[in-house]
Amino acid sequence: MTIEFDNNLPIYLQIMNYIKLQIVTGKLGPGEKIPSVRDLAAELKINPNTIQRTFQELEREGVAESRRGLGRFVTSEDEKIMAIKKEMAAELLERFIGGMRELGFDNQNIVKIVAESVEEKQPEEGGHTRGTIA
Amino acid sequence: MLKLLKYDMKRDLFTLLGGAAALVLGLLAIELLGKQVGMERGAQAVLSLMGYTFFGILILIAVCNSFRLNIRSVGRRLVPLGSLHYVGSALLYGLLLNGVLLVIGGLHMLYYQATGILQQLEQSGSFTINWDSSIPLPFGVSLIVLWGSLFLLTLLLLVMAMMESMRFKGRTLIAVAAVIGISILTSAVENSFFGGAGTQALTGFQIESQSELNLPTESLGAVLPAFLFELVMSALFTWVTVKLINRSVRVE
Amino acid sequence: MARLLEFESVSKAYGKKIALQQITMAIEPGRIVGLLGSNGSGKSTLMRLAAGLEHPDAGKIRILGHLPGQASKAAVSFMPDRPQFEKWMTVGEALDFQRDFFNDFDATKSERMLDFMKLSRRDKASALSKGMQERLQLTLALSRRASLYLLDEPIGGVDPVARDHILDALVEFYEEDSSVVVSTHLIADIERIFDEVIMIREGSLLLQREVEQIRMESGKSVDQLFKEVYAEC
Repeated sequence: MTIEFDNNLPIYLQIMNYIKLQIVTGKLGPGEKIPSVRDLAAELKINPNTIQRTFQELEREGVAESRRGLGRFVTSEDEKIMAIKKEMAAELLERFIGGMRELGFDNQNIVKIVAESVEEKQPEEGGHTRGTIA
Repeated sequence: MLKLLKYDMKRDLFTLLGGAAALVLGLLAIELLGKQVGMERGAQAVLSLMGYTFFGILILIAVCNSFRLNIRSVGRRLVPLGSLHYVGSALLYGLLLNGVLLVIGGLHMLYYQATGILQQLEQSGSFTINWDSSIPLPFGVSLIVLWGSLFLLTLLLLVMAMMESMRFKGRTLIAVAAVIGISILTSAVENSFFGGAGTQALTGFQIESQSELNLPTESLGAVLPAFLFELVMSALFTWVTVKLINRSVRVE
Repeated sequence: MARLLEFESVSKAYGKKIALQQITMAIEPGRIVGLLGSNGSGKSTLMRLAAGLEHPDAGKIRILGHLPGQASKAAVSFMPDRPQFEKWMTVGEALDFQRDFFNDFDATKSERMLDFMKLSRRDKASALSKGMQERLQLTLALSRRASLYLLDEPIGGVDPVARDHILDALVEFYEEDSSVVVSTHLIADIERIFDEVIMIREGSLLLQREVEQIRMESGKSVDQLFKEVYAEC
């Protein structure tokens, strides 16, 4: 498990996205324990302070919760997980639509192209986001 | 300090063992080969003594060299010890090696005594000891040699620290000049104030002619003021050395 | 917060050559700090001053409140950019030397690191390849539980694979409540492990800033910013 980091973006945001992706795709189930700061730092070869910050942000957003003496866990609220999924989808869509508009497509055409494309292709697992899993 | 010394000895182990072996072999050669070629007893004794002096000088060089390496070495200088420890361990090193030299010399004397060679030498007049102090002779000689070498070492270590503080060529020459200058100065002071009663190692023994030896015969009373003077001087040398190590010796 | 390392208008020159000029900065506990600058910019001098190997011409240096000296040396673990072990030593003897002189030496940690670095106690240290010598140097430095680690170009002379290994070791073995200062001119490879960076050029401090802040505010990597800042001057 490694992340190809983009040094131009804050690392903690990239790790947040990575963990959210793991949650949304079910690799980290609801209520499951999240690796410790030390372990994740060693695994991703990242400064532990950065991981610490990532976790703090995740807690602030309600994605993770820490239980005293036990560690950190993924939230068990399904709504929260759904919300993350929607949020990530929104980000993807925003970037996609922005790109399409730059190419000169209007709203109708974008919808049409997407509809055609979805019919042609079998649905894929996951998807591509920034901070892709390598 | 002792730990520093331990690593000095580990580093120099082969040189030390080799040196000791060379000394013992050299003395044996003088004794056995000298007998074969019919060398005079007196000449043999002088040759042996020269051997001891030579090794005494080698010891000083070895200690200076080890000190120089130490104060320049990153590994040693990172150690959380005050700079006095570098001087202390070098002095201990010198004492230890000179002690070994003295033990070998002492055994040599015992051998001379047991075989009657000592009496022969004294009768032939080529070797005279006039020791009128209350301190036993072997003890007295050891004291003179050890203190003399310690005093000289504090001076040499100071010069080493000076040398390692300079950043230009020709510092070796300046160092040699400094050694000569400071020792002339101290012996001049000793001569004028204490009537030449200094205990400096290199002038402690006087080889007057090819086969005549004399041991210094000053009584303790005459030596004491000079000794105190040397003590103060060596403390001063050490203090300056420590300052130099702290402030200006360049670490590699 | 208590300051681990503090420089107060520190200057240092070697003869006519100015190495550091009026450096004022502080490093707090629990940080990994990148000390960035090209060769000859004063990185090594700064570290050697903090390690107590050199004496500043002007200004004050404090380590946990102490002036550089015996107490500071006990708290600082410095990895110089040249061998700190002696030529005659084996890997084992080099570690024994650290153990004998530093109370914070951690034998278990040193064994783990030896293993991680694939070093053998019996090897003669001076006969190791340059990359392996760097690994040994890092092992010697990180085997201590020091308050401040100063690592001078730990990835300078090794190939990219070995470089990754050394970075792994660094993240794995550093003590979390202590701080690490890493000097380097190879920024892109290592910037992801920094909390903050200090950039110096020709002996003067250019900036000291949080790396995430740099990325967030400018959308640039530290490497890019470094190149721009250096080009400007």
